[in-house]
Amino acid sequence: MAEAAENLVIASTEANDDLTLLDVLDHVLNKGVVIRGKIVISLAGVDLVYVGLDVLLTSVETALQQLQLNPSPQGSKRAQLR
Amino acid sequence: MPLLAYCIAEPGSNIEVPLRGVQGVPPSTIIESGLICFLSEYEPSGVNSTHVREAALAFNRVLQELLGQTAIVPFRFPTLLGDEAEIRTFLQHHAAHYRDLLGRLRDVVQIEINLTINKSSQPSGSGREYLLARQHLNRTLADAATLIRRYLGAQIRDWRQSQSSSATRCYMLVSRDDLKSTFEKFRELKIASELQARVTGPWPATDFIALPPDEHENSLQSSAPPVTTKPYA
Repeated sequence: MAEAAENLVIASTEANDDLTLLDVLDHVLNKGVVIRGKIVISLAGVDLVYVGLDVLLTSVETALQQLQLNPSPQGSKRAQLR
Repeated sequence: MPLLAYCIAEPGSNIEVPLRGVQGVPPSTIIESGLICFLSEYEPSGVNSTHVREAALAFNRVLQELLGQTAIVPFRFPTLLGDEAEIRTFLQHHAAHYRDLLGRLRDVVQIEINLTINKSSQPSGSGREYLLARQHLNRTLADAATLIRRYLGAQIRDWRQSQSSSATRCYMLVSRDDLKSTFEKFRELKIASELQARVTGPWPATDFIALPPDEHENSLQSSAPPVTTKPYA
């Protein structure tokens, strides 16, 4: 098998050990389908709300402020945070 | 407890569900409107940054195990849902789009090449000198992407690329049958000395996933970066 040139790195996800954390995070955090929801999670003691592509994580306080500025239509399950 | 959504796939009796998912919880499945979705319960309380990193890696392992068996459309991590009804509603609404997409992606996977400029080749100086050096490097990046595309030839089923000030990212679809030979071919690739190339894959074909036609009205978003099928010029 030929050796890759020095300025070329080949990292197969099947071999896994060549992949960096950055490779993985770049994919799982930046790529894929998003369904907007209003789930609140806690990260390092701070309540965060997951709202979709534009603002993936924002503090509940900020979200509530934004919601007051742009209230969701009645019955909508979506947070209107644009 | 919230549900963490991993991905959507075409249901098939041969799919082996990974035994261990995020937080060590075995993923479960729901089948709706001709699609299968992989989920697991997610305990959000007390999550810290270390746990998030571990969870992201576990999430990727589940995706990779499934990708090894079939085409998948992943959800972005962490896509958290209140209950199964939310994902069923989503699948019912977009079933036709994702069934069609998964059918087209059934036999392919995505490989990526990230072309960057070596630190030692970064332009220095100022004014006209800097701009000329910058222009030269941009052309070198563009030429490298074009050469790679040409070099791989018929092994590429589709190609997209995006560029920033110091990098060009190339995304290609490759047949599962050609995956091994494509990686072998990469090993013989020669890259311009001013550049670094990093090849990774196989990944789910996320950069080739089109949004459903009514995406903006139905709270679905995809992360595909701005891409162009033309070589960067």
